[in-house]
Amino acid sequence: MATPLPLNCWRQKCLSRPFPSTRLFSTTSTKLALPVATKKSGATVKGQKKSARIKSKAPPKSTAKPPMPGERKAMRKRIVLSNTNALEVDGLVDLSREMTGSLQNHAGKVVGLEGATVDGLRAVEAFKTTQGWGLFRRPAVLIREESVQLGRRLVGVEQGKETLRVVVDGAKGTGKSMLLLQAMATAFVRGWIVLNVPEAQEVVNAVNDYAAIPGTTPTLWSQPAYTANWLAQIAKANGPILNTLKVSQKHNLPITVPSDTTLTRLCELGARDSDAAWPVFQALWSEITAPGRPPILMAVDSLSYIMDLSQYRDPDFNLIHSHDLVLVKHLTDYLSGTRTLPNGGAILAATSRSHAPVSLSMNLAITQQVERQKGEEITERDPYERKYDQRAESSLKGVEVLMLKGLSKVEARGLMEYWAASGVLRQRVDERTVAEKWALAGNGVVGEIQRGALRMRI
Amino acid sequence: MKVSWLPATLKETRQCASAPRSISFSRQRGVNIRPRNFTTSTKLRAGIAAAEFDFEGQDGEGGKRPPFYARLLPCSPSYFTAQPLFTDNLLAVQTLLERYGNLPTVKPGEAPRVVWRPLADYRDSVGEVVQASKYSKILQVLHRLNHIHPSLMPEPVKDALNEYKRDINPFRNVVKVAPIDKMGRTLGAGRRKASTARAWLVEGTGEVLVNGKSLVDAFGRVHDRESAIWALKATDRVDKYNVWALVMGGGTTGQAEALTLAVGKALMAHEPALKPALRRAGCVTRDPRRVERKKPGHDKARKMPAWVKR
Amino acid sequence: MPPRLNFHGASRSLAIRSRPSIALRQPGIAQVIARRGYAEKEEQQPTGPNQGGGIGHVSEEAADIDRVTGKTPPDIGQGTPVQEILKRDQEGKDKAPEVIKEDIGGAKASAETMTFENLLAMGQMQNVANGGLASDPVATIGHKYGLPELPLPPTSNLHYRYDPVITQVTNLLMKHGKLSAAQRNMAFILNHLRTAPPPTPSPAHPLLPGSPHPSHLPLNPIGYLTLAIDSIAPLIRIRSQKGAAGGGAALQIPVPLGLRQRRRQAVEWILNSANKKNSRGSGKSQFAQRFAEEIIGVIEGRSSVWERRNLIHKSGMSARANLLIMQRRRK
Repeated sequence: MATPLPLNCWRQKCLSRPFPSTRLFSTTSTKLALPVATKKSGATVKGQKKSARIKSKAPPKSTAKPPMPGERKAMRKRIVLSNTNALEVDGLVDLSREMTGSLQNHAGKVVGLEGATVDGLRAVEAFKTTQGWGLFRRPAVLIREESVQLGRRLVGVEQGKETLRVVVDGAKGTGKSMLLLQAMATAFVRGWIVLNVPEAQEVVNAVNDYAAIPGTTPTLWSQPAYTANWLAQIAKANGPILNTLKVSQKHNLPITVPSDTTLTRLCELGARDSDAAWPVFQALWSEITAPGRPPILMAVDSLSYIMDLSQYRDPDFNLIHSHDLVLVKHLTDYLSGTRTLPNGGAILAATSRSHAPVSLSMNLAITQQVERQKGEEITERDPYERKYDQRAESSLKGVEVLMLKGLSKVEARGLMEYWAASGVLRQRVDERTVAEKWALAGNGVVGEIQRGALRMRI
Repeated sequence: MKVSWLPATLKETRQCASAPRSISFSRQRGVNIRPRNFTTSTKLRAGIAAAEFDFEGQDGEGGKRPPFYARLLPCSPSYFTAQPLFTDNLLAVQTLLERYGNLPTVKPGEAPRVVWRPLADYRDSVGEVVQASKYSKILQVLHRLNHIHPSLMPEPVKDALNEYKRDINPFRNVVKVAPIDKMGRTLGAGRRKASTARAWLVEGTGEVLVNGKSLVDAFGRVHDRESAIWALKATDRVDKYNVWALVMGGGTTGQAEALTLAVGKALMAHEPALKPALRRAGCVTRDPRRVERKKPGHDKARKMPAWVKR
Repeated sequence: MPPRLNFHGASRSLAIRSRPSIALRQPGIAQVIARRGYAEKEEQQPTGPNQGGGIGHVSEEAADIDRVTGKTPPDIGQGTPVQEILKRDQEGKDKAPEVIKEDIGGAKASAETMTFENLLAMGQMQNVANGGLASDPVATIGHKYGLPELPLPPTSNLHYRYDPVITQVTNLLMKHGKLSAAQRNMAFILNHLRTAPPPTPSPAHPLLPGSPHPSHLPLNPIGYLTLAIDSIAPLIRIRSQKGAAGGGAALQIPVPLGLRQRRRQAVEWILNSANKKNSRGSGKSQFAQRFAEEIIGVIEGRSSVWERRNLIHKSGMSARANLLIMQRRRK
């Protein structure tokens, strides 16, 4: 039998637990027994300690008008490209068509971007909030060693009518997105057509509407709203070029397109009607890849998002692979080299090393390619790992990898001299300051140099 | 009467009698550590009782007989002061100063640095209640004596100074300098809060690896990165050395500031002359603060449980 | 009765001291150097006949000989340097002679002149030049790249690395001991001041005399912040002494404030007023943004902090007679 234990143990000041330490094998009697009258939780006994009752005041309600829907986000995402307080830098040359052929003359220096280029870049959303554009008088970029390489390659493929396929990789803050921006700036300056997916996450994270394209096996999925948006962006960014080009082929489109329309107009028509967006995009694509048309640059940022399953679901509630989204498929076809650009051009993709999903296949492909480029022994895939993605792997086969490291001290100095000339960095730029900032930024990681010299140093 | 049979004080009396004006300075150590007797009977008897008369004159082996006093004399003229031994000592050093005070001295800051015996030690040795202000009078004189030029320092002054010196002179304690190994590296260790750091410094171009990671990966905060290589930064040597460091324990601030010390010490091993600069830069002193312990009856170190009326 | 043997006394009287009675004054560094073993000592290698200054490289030597004998010397400027070939050829690099291997580490060569060994030797030569012996201690050694000038600049100390105003304001912004977050806010504030349009000060609330032109402020955000804080910092605080006015009534006594106290009061006011504002957007930096807006408001004379300051000064003026009462009472 269980020994009755005092329930009010505290009164006798004993230290034993207030629960029976012996248990019965049968639970019947306990079940049959009348429930023990428990004290109300609020009731207190004299002498018993209780926790302090602290009256919590309701926080004062704000009487101000809350911001409009979307206003806060707009505030957060706002891109400021100019600081009227910053000084105009003397002798800042702008990126021009002639210069892009011989960027090595400007290596380690900062070059400005002229108004038309900036408009184009802004339209394709190449500028990002984290890049610190708002501190300077006008947008300018540092020409680093990799920019020279990439610029040379771009000029080369334009002349040879080849397709350049490059994945830009590197640690966080090494300037991957900035290199994409520089490539796009080069393309704008040289009169290419630029298509940019500023953030691959937005294509696959199931925030846009989607529809199966009839008559495709395996089923492909289009994203009408996103495509329409993209068409508008393309029209806006490449207006000067597309305005000069006219529709030259017959297209089977759900909307009527007059025969003599410009390609800008075609894009705008597609952007207006989201259901027709994808067919219009296909029409546009066949137009701009027709012979005699300018080269094309396609750029994707945050590549690892489109190297895995997307967040979209098919009717069986399975996740759709991102390569089954027709827009992504369009990009990966060119990235993998299954399709090529007849007028020459490039597809560039940059990885994201902060807050992006880990794609094992992409990482492996990049490592292998880097080793291949260096002539080292190639890493095999881990036989015990199941998370590899076959389609991602095949889409990255043979892609060139441009690995970004920290800046050299000469480049860092060029950049810091520009900051000092803009009046933003109030410090003498000499070997000592450069060496110090360079070391503090983990051997010249450019984003960290900026953080350490401009942003976070108080 | 055999002198050796006499109690100590009386014996001294006799010696004093033979050389009346010589003060007890001739002892090797003016301030002997006397074992404290709990029974003072010997002393008392010696103080109270008169010495036996030496009627036969056994001491005088022919020739001159020493002057004979028919009553006990105190061994020192300061016998009736409140602190006789102290007074003796003070008089002794003052006499020395009178005698040698006109010797050439070194400039005020250039005398050899000496640590004198602390007051407690002195009190223990004389067995008297000596006030700090009184002892400082002796020290003042000693300080002046210490400024006599070392090459001209007379023997008695040296002896007197030695008596008041501490057995260990902390100023002679030279810090051990870490060696530079065959590869040109030096090792420094540092601590802060709960963190410990070891840093190896080698001449190089300013690359830093902390636990195998770059400075950026190791410390997210710019402030911490600066702290970690502050020793190099403050002395303009960021691009002159490479750092390879291991840090354990604690949080980011602790690790970064433990590294400050480690790098500072390793740098001092390379360049000992940088120590004054590094001390001013705050890279030498260990911050001894730790988390305060929790006390019984408190919720945390200091926090008390909420007061309840009943 | 024999006196008790006193061991302590004996040991003290024995003049056995391991140290000399008076320490010699000598620089600590010289001692250190005497005891140090140098890494280079063991690696010192015998120099070959063509290592020294006299004869150059093999090709240079050949060129010299040819020049002397009147033949056409080989063009040294033309050939590919060995270093460049070895850069491509790993095997060749491994099997290269020691001399070339040393040469490849070119970065070291420039630092070579600054090695410890060299400095020591140079110091010894200096000693000889000064008429001493080479074995005299070399006093200037103990550093490799020159000593920084003392006193170091005030921001060189680890614990005082930022501007004093910035440090004080950052600490006042801090909540729950989160310094890192406060510093982030501070950085945002400075950047906001940098990018906001230049302020237009109002004549009703004049800034500190001698302040720079408002258009110069944004590019010197620390000066901007300091100017704002110092401009509204009150000169006095009002202490109310209980019962001093007679009949238990409190007496208002103006008390002057120190620099840090004045700034603290100013920042507290700005913080209060910034906390009452509504933020315009969303995100982490909203508090910092409100604070920065308030700073601009102070400079432009829009802020309510000016009223508080004027109030304090006015009541201080009216209460200044009480100072005399207190003085008289003290006598």
